[in-house]
Amino acid sequence: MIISLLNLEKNKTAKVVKIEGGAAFQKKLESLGLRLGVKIKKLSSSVFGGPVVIRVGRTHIAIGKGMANKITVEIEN
Amino acid sequence: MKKILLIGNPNVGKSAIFSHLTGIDIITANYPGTTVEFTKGYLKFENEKYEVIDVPGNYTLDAASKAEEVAIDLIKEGDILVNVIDSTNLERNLNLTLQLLHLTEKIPMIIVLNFWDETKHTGISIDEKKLEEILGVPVIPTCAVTGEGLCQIVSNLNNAKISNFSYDQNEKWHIIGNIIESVQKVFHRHHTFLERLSDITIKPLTGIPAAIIIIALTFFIIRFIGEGLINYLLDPLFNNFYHPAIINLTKNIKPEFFSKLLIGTTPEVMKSFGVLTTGIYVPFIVVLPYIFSFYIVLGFMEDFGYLPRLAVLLDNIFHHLGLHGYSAIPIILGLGCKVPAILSTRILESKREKIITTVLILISAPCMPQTAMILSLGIAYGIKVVTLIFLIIILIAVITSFMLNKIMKGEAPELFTEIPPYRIPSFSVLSKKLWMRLKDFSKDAVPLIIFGIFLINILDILNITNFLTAKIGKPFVYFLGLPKEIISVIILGFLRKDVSIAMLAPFALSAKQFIVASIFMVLYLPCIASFFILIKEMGLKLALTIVFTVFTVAFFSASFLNFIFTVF
Repeated sequence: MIISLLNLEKNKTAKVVKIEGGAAFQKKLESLGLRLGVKIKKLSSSVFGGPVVIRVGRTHIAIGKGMANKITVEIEN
Repeated sequence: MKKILLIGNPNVGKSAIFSHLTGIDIITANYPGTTVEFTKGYLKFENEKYEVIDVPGNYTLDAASKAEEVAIDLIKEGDILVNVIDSTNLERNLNLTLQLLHLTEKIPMIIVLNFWDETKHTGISIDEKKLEEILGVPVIPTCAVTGEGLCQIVSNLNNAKISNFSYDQNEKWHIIGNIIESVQKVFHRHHTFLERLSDITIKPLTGIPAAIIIIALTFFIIRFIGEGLINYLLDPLFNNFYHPAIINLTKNIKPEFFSKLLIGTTPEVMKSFGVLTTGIYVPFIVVLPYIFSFYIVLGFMEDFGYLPRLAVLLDNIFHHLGLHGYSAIPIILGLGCKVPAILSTRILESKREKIITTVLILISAPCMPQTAMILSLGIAYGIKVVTLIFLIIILIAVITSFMLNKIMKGEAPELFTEIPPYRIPSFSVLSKKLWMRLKDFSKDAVPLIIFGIFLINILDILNITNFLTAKIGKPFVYFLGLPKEIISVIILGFLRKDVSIAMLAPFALSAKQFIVASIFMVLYLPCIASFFILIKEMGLKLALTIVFTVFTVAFFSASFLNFIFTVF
């Protein structure tokens, strides 16, 4: 199943398959290890428009709601 | 002299290593962006002197941000690179390492695997010899907090090598993956207590109640320690021993002018404005205990790693003010002192964000010395009055930044930040940090407080205060409902804001007047130290605009408040 990171369920693991946005945005995400093909785990969802928290490798990252919506992930079965 | 650059991702412990190598103490904390300015120090080893530079942290060298540009410029001048890596987070850190190995002008390098102790209880095992073999530069495991392994950095400086490791840029992540595969083993293990605590404090459902409890507890501890020190130790010492002794020693000094300067004319310590009475009482008995208790608590929160989590929880609220949650960190630092707080706005990306955050730093709460004075004088009117003062100030700040957000073009950027793991703070690091902050206060603030009190007294003795009061006191009587003598407070208050509140003591203000006066004195102008840092960070024009805006907000809110108090 392919959905946006924003809509991914909490505690689910998924693979990043698409990142919308320019090169600068991609670089910014990559600097914290968030890039195509990488596995992430969603730790907490956006509540009242707050950020999404995910784990990439061993890094915990907080991502604003709008940014999370630009990241598409694929849930593995 | 050879230049050594400490370079690495944010929050990997570069500053802690720098302190150990150079003996220069700098503030460290467990969140990305603690170091915003590069610091220089010196190190001597085998009769050779080295210059050591602590470069602010970077994830990459793409020159995408100001911090990255600074790092790139510094690297050009370096003779030895010490690449500090968080060993619990090899993949992300090696990205920068490969970029450093791939510089056009190659520089000899050493790799430091910091947080080595943490790999053990996070279930990671790294073969550092193998990493050394692959990358072709010395690799040294360390634990900067305890100092373990740091001697090896120094003794290996001469072994720093230019690596001949080469790779295809497009295959970067693939190559990093391969390196990790061959040097690192990860064991399965259960979540530690700190990891579970991290989960609880970051998920909104449990995190928001936890934050409320933590903040309430924080205020309680700060007041408990501060008040305890004052009421049971410092105030009795002052009143029973110091004050009578000093009065005895100085009361016969002639001419009377000098004794007035030293101990004033009244035995009431808060009203005398003598250099040796009020001048000692304000900084050491009233303010210092709160500085001490505030920085104990802040230091612990910083090193434990709670602040970034609070930033995540506050993100949503801050968006309505045109900011993202990370602005909470400068604002929290501002509860202590505005100077480091304004400096720390450098971690924010856009100018717009920096301006709104700076205004919020200046008006959302008084600094700790001023808070201590408001508590000390205001408690006579009851705790309700004191609480009301702080609530009104926060309300004014929220309305102001809400309006700034509407007026200034642009949008709040989105939060994108690393959340460091919780770490048990080291007692020696905490006490060193506290000591540095107390030393800074004694060195920078105390002389200014004493000078301010001296100035107030001498202007009063020479009758200049009366002259000014008669000339320009009227608008303050009319709009703010305060006695016209308040003009001297307003003129001198920018020197030190704690002194400005102390100056309210002799006026016998009513509770309502005290509220209006405190709020006006908290807001109206930044103190002289924060004014200069504001110019440095923002440029003269923007600094003056901010000061003018804040003054306008202060004057109108205080007048409005006075109006409400008079009508109801």
